[in-house]
Amino acid sequence: MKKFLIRLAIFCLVFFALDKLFIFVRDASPALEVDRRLEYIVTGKIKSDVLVFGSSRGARSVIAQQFIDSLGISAYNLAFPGSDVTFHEFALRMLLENKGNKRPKTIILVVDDGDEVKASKSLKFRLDRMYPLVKYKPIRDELVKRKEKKPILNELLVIHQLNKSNFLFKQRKFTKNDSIMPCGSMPIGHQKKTFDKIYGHEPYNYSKIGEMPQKTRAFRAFVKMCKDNKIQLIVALPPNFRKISTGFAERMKELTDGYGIVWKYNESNPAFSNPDNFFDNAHLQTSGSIIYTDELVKFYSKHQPH
Amino acid sequence: MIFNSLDFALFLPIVFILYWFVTQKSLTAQNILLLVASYFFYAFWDPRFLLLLMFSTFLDYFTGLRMFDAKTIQWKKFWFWLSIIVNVGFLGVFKYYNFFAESFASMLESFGMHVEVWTLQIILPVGISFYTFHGLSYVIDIYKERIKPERNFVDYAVFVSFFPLLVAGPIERATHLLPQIQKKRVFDYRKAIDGMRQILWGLFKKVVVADGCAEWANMIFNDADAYSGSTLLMGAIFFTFQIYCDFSGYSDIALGTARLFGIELLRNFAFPYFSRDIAEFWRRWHISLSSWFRDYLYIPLGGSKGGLGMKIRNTFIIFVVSGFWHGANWTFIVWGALNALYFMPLLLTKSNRTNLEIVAQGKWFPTIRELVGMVITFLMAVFGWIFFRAKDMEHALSFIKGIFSKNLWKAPNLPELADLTIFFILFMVFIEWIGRESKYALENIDKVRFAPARWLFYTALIVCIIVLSGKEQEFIYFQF
Repeated sequence: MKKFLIRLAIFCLVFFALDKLFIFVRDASPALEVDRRLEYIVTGKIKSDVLVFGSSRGARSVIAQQFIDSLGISAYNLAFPGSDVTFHEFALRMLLENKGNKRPKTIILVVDDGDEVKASKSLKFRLDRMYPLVKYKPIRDELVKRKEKKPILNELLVIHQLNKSNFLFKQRKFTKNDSIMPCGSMPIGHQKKTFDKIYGHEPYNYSKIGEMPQKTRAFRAFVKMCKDNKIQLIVALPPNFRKISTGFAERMKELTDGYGIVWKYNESNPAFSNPDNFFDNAHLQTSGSIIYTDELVKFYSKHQPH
Repeated sequence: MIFNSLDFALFLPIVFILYWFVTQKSLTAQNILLLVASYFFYAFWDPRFLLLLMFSTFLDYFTGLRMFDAKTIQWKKFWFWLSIIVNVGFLGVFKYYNFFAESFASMLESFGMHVEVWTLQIILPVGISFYTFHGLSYVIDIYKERIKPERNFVDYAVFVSFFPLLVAGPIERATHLLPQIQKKRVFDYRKAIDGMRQILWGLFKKVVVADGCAEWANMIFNDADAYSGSTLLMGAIFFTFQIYCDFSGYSDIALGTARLFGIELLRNFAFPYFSRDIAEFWRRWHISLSSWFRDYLYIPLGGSKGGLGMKIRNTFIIFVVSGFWHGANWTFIVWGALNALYFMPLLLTKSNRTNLEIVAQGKWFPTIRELVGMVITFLMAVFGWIFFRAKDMEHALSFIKGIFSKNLWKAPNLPELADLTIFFILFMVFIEWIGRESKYALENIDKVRFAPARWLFYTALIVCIIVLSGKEQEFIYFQF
């Protein structure tokens, strides 16, 4: 028995020592990423007055550079494709907690028409964006909070902080669908092959059925953070290749609890029923993004906080 | 509490220390400790179902004694059938009631009659199929006068609910486990090291291979319409390794844990994917269940003693019942029947017992004939698992149609990280191939004389386990 316990203890000690070597793997991961925007948030490098949050619709539809060029203000896009409102809430929380970041004057939250607070296959909390950044404590803490990692092991063992993606020692590259402008926006310059180009004339009636409590909570928390920090909030609806949903804008107003401005694009603008301006049924391509952002800039210039 | 959880990582050393340092002088104290620990382990899921486990244990203990002490054959039969009916009744209510009620209603609907079915909104108690089978084998063995009943309730209760085997087997026999519970256990260094090693290999298979495969298998099975034939085939292959590594990983952890307490459990897997025909596969897959059905169903039905018709009938019965044991769904029944069909050519040509020895024994590589046999058997298993994994028959059939109708020969479209899972599958297969002549893959690793190399290997396995352990994933067989 004694021999067994001694061997076990020695093995644990050796293992504990070897574990510390994995700090090199952990710390090398952020530099391999192509999209460094989340890292900028965590390290306090965001200094813009206007910030865009959202999923792929926010990333592709709003070109932050147009705010800079038209209004001479600083703007940056922090929308992550495939992310849901729980991820946006996390990103904003991190941004405000790190005093190195500048508190923005305005946040434009580009919402997913119909899916914003509902269960969705394509929108989720982007854990894959978190793991390359586990060298930063706030990221590790969030993973523990989300029960992805165990608190004690997370403190004791470096390897427990890691994920398989940390072992893909390969420099990520821009792809045709995911290239990032210096302003953080990710417009897309082509059309999806499977885009059917059939405009949806029948408006979609939004219903609360299927809303997820954790997503509505995250949405409300997002609004509250803006309110508490006196940040102007614009909830922007981007175009789909169909009529705008009835009831969805009302639901967004309800969730913002009177604080944010819910802004709808000009639906009568023929550009938003022209398939040439769309990547697919849910996303604009660059030509459409320019027109959409132009409308947004004009609206913003009238409601710009002083 | 599941084996791949932090709770279990704390629970096991505590019970181990109490067992060998506090209660080591008294066998009764050790058995009471094992019983309390086992009930705690079980209650960790849902304490309400502990009452069901206790009731089932007491029923079989009591009816076993009454049967043995019965003065007349009528009373013996009475106690026997009481136990069988109550045990099977519990299983029927919890596991099969909704299936029968809904199937009956849909049958009536096909005749134009609409019936409102009353279904039970209850969750299946974890491990009910396993501990019920434990109890049944005990009662049947007493009835058949193969064993005498156990008079010490604690010993009997430990036999039924010993925590390593409680929720997903192996399905033990009283003749094998009870004598070990009744006998004083002495700490054995080599056995303890061996147990730790088997736990480590089991965890590797579960956390690294099975959970890794689950990610891709779920992705592909849940959205089958979106993938090409080759990707669907990869999905089925991922599930084939998922189910093996999940269940055999669980069994390895169970056997290793039991060995830490000086108890040997029945072997449950013997490298089934290296089988050269389907009969060999079934001698190597979930051995404790297959042998249970052989001893308590196939042989009482006449086994292979009767004519050809009886052999075919009995083979179909045990495979279909075995499928149904896994779950109340037509997919499991079809999976069972399909395996019976696979078995038929071997049965008809009397070649179902040709491959009894270990494949390529004493050699590095199999012969071409053996390799072809292994590949064909593996592909047959892959095809069968599609039914096992599908949520219903429609899903299974559309999945199979998808494999053969959409770009089967095009490279599968898988995420980059799936390559890592494929690497771990190949690594696992390689290690199991090397260790196929032992009870589990790492049993003979002691042959590597250079200790630091062994330690480095263990360290690598632990690193993989810890890195790849995200949210705890339950074992598939817990649902059965």
